[in-house]
Amino acid sequence: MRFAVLHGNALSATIEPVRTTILIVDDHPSFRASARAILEADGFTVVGEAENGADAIDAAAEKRPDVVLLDVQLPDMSGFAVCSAIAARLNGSAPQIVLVSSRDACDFGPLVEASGARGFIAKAELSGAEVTALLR
Amino acid sequence: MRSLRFALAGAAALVEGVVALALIFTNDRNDNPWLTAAVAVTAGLSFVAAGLVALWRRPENTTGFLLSATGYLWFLGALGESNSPWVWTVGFVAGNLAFLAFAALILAYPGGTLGRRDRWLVAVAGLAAIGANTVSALVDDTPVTGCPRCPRSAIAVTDRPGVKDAVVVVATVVIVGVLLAVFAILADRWRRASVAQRRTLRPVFISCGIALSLLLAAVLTDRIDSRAYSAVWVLFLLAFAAVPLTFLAGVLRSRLDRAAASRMLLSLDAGVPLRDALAQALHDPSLEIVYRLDSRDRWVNAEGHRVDEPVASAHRSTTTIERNGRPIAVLVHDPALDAEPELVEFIAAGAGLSLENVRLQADLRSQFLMLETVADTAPSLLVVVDTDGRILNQNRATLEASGLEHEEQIRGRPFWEVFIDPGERQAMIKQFRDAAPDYAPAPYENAFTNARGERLVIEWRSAPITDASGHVTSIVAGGIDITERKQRELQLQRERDITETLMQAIPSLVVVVDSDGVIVDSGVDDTRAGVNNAFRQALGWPDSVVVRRSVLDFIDPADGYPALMAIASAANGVPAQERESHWLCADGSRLVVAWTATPVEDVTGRATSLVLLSGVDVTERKRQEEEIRASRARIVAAADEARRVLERNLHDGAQQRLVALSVSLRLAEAKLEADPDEARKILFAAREELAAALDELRELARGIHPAVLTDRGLQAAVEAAVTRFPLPVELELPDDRLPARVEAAAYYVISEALANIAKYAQASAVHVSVKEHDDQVTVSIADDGIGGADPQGGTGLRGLSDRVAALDGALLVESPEGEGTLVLAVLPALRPAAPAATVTP
Repeated sequence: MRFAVLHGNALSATIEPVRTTILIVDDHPSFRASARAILEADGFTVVGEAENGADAIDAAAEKRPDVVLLDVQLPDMSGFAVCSAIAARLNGSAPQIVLVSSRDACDFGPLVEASGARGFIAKAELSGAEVTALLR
Repeated sequence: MRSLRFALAGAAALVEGVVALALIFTNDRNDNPWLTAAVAVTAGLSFVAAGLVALWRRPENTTGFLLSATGYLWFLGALGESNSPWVWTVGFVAGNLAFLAFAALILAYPGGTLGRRDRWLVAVAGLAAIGANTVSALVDDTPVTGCPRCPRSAIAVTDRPGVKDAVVVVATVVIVGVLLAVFAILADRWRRASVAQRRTLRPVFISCGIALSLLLAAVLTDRIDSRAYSAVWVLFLLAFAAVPLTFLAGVLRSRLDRAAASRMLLSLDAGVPLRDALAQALHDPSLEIVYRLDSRDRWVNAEGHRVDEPVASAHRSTTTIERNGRPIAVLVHDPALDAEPELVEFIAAGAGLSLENVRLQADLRSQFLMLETVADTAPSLLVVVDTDGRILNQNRATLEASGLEHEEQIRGRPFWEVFIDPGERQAMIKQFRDAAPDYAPAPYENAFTNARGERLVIEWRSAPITDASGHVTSIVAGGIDITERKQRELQLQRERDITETLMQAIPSLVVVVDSDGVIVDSGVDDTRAGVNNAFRQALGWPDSVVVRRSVLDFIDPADGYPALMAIASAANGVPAQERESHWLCADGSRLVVAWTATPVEDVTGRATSLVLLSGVDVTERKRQEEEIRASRARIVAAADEARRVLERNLHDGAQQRLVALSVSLRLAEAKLEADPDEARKILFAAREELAAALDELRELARGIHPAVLTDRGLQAAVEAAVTRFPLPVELELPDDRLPARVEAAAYYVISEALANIAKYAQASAVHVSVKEHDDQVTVSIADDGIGGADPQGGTGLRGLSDRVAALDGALLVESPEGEGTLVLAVLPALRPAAPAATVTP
């Protein structure tokens, strides 16, 4: 099932995948590798990877990606908490955040909507087109 | 004045007599004036004299009046002696008035009053006598037949002797009738008179009877023969003259009966009973004497029996006898004696001393009768024995207790023969002899079998009776039959023993408290508390601490108020519901006691102020309940945890791999056209990813519940588990399958123990055994590791403990430091019961 958050911060500019930088945050190396391969194949520029929440916040501040692909379930903190922390840390210039999980979005109830993230994509359905569609 | 009146009345009579004499002696036709003067004047005077005496003595009795009236009127008849026609005529007409007064006198005697019938008779006689003479004098010049020299009637208006004769005949018939009626009345009165009344009536009735008979004869002969009439008339006059004397005697008789008093005194001296002597003297056989007891304001007869206070009635009169101003007796007698009060008083005065004596005797008899009644009606036994122990007297209760029927069967026999069992007689005789000569008062209780075979228990008390010189003459013993009391005491004791045994034997804690909650003593020993052995053993307090202490001192103060309310409720008769409180033990520990407070009832079913607290020590039960509750919570928590772990493992393992696989396939699909080689590489990696995912799922499923355990049993499952175990494991497993729940529990105990050994034990060898015997399965896992395992430390062992407990089994962990660890689980075999043997024909 597909779930997309249709409102959020206005991003009126046309999304150009080639120019879009992305940070991948997930504790599973196999998923990070698959995600990098499929996103790069679809024209995204992967600027970095992080395997836990704390590294993700630092990397977001350091790499200043356009988009953070953020796993909901991290070993040290939840993706929602990371989402809030990044927004707080990069006040005004925070990246668009797309939450991913191997679970279904409905497993998290209203948390996704309340997190301030741009949207949610199930891991099994991850593709550059899905990310682009969310950011559009 | 009274004397003057009587003197004038007497003088008037004398004047009448003188006038009569003058008329008699101046009468020129009287052949025998002396005889007439002697008899007729005597008769008149005797009536007047007797009448006046009677009036003097008894002014209230009309007899005296009628006597004197007869006398005064009698002299009117003397006018008939006159030679003057007018005087003669008055005498002829009014001469019979005296007979009317005479008739009234007779009919009114002795009461002095005329009844209605009597008055009619007198009126008819008067009409006949006066009326006939008046008519005769009116219709005939010579109204008196056979008296040619008599003066002529002064009032004759015609001379018709025939009419006169007819009138005289009618009058004669009427007068004869009246005389016969008077006879009949007198005969009837005599018949109905009492002895005492006849004594009064006798002289009067005799004299009157004679006089009336002669009068009747005179009336009758007057018509036949004048000579005979004269003779009869003289006789009548003689008898008539004597009549007043008999009346007078009747009225005044008591004055004359001093002889009777003398005879009475002589009779008393001769020993005649007082009542008989008085009855004789008063001529009243019906006489009764009732004595008054001063001290008790009661009336008794001579025998001392109580009687009602005597009250006068129409048939019985009473005369109170006083002595020193106090009534001592009442004579109940014939009303006839009321006419002779002097006689009664005279006789009573003569008998005064005797009356007093008899009264005192009656008083004594009355008291004796009362004592005798008291003794006989008393429920207590009373017996008097002489100094030889022989029974002299006894009351009814004693006779009843002896079982004998007649007092002759008791009297004179030794006391112990009747009231002491043979086996104890010698001891009793010795005791009796030893008590001589004082026979001091002594209590004694004995049980014996009486003549009816009844078993009695008597409590005796004896006391000596002494004579004037102080010697004991007899001994009186009073006894109470306490047989029933003894039986009740025995019954009560038995019930008390049963209750005590019950109380001490039951496992419940029992405490008896008063309404304030203070523990009472045992009722027998005031140092022993009213608690039972279960209480003593459970709480450990000595009786000396418990007795007379509030039971609230032994209950947790937090439970004190509801406990006090429960006791107060029961003290008011309302049993309290069961409640649980913490009771304090002597060693400082606490017991949870479920207890109730019940009102203690007495034998009548009424609540006493005592309250029975009975409780059960539920501490162990509570602990077990708590343990079960905790175990259930742990089982639920363990299950939740297992599911959480499972979900995590699925998520982190196979799911991630499948997600990656999905992404890889999507990538391969995208590369298939443009870069087939790259796509092939991706597909190859995806196949390896898929294999790994399958392995993880398989491992996971095995962890949830190994399929081999379900399919091939405990032996195969344990052997499979051991193949993945890094240490050598020696197995000792049953070949037969066990019930699934038992196999699962045993498998998890072994798995968990092996996992712990692998993690912590640092062991070199493990021995696993599963044995079934006596419906129990024993699972043991022993290693040679470092020991020191804490059964409460990890969740793994506690979870196993719960799993085992759920099957009513037990888990034991022995893990001394440095000596390895033994995990031992004992489980019920849970084999279904063997079917009952069937009998085939």
